[in-house]
Amino acid sequence: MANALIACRSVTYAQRAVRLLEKAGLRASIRRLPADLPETSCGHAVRVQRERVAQAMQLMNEAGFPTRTHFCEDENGGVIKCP
Amino acid sequence: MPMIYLDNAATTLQKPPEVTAAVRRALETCGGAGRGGHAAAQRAAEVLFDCREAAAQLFDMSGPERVILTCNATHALNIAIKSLAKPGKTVLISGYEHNAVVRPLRSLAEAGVKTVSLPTPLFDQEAAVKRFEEAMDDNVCLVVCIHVSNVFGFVLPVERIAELCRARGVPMIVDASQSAGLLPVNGDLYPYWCLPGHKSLYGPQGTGLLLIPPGGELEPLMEGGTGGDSRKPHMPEYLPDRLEAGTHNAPGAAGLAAGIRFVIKNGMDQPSPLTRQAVEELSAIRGVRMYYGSCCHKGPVSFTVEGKDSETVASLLSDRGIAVRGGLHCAPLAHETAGTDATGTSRAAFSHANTARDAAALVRAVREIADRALA
Repeated sequence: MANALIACRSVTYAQRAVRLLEKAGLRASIRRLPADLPETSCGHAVRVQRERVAQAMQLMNEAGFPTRTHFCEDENGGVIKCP
Repeated sequence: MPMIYLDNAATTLQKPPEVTAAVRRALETCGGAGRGGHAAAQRAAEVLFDCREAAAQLFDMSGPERVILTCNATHALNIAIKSLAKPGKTVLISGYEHNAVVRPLRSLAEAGVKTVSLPTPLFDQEAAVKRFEEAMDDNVCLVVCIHVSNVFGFVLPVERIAELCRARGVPMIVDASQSAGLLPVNGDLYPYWCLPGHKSLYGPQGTGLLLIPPGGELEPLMEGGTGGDSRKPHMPEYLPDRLEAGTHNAPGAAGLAAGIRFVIKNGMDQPSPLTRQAVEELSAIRGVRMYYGSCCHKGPVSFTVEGKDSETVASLLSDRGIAVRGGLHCAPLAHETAGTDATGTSRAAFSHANTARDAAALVRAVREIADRALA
């Protein structure tokens, strides 16, 4: 399953986002982002299905949770720019 | 002889069993919150978040990220006071403040922060409001007020004082050490609220909370790792990370969350009937002076016994298996204001674990001590 990763500014915001998304019926979890990503070093991200990322970000923005950017997970669990 | 513990205004000793279980579970399962992506780190992060959510529920807050986890109320007060007190400006405090407020402000005096205490009569809320209103001038940068006196149980009208502050754009800090768990606290209102976890919220020692109002901004008291934004040399701008450097007390937060949920489930202020019983019956003892006002009292009950120092009374009660606290209760300012600074007072406070038999045992023992003192 291809996943997208929405970068959050802290683990607390990521947790709030997971609660919000799960309430809206989306599957979501938290994972750490690689240290070499600019702007998000050692940050936390919300993992959602790739086809749900736009919906997830919209929900998060509407709820006032600041999102930074999003990435994609490759088949090996690596973090890449979304194609 | 089993101890009757009535020093709950200092720390509640008998915690609900779910608190103990939560602490133990966290000790056994939690890694460093936010410090990794593995299950143990995530479990710790969940524990902290659960504590923030429980607090946000009890304190009517819309954003759990504005619940800051601290070591105790003193820690929370130091963060808030040292952020908001400005050199060359004046800080107004009530005449009932604890050393957790007085000492940080004293340490800022050398930096040019002037502190003005506003003594008013015990159990007179109108006088307190009036005094703050009169003292509020353009040089005031901060107001700090205790919600419930830790010595006398006097409920200060912090909501009305907050209105005065808000109208003038002056920040306000409330020390809710005695009120949290006994009186409603709204963390979305104007003030910064500082409170301990280990009193009437039934959490473990070493836990406390700082509730930041919407839009509130404070400076970190400590800097260090936050588990995120690691390349940045400064503390993050966002809450709660900005004010929480270093590894968290996850077992403490787990216990505090369980304690808060206990209060939510069982209701605030369970001990009040026992307090009323003790006040009524102690008041009837010859040679005992009660410090009580029916208009505005909550929590700790202070009394003195004629001819006996308050520490001696506490010691005699301890000999009879009853734990209360004598002396100045780390609040010499409150005793000066009330005129009890020479002898201090003996203080009893009830918790959910006490019974009417405990209150009756206190009354019986105090009567015996007072009768001997007068004989």
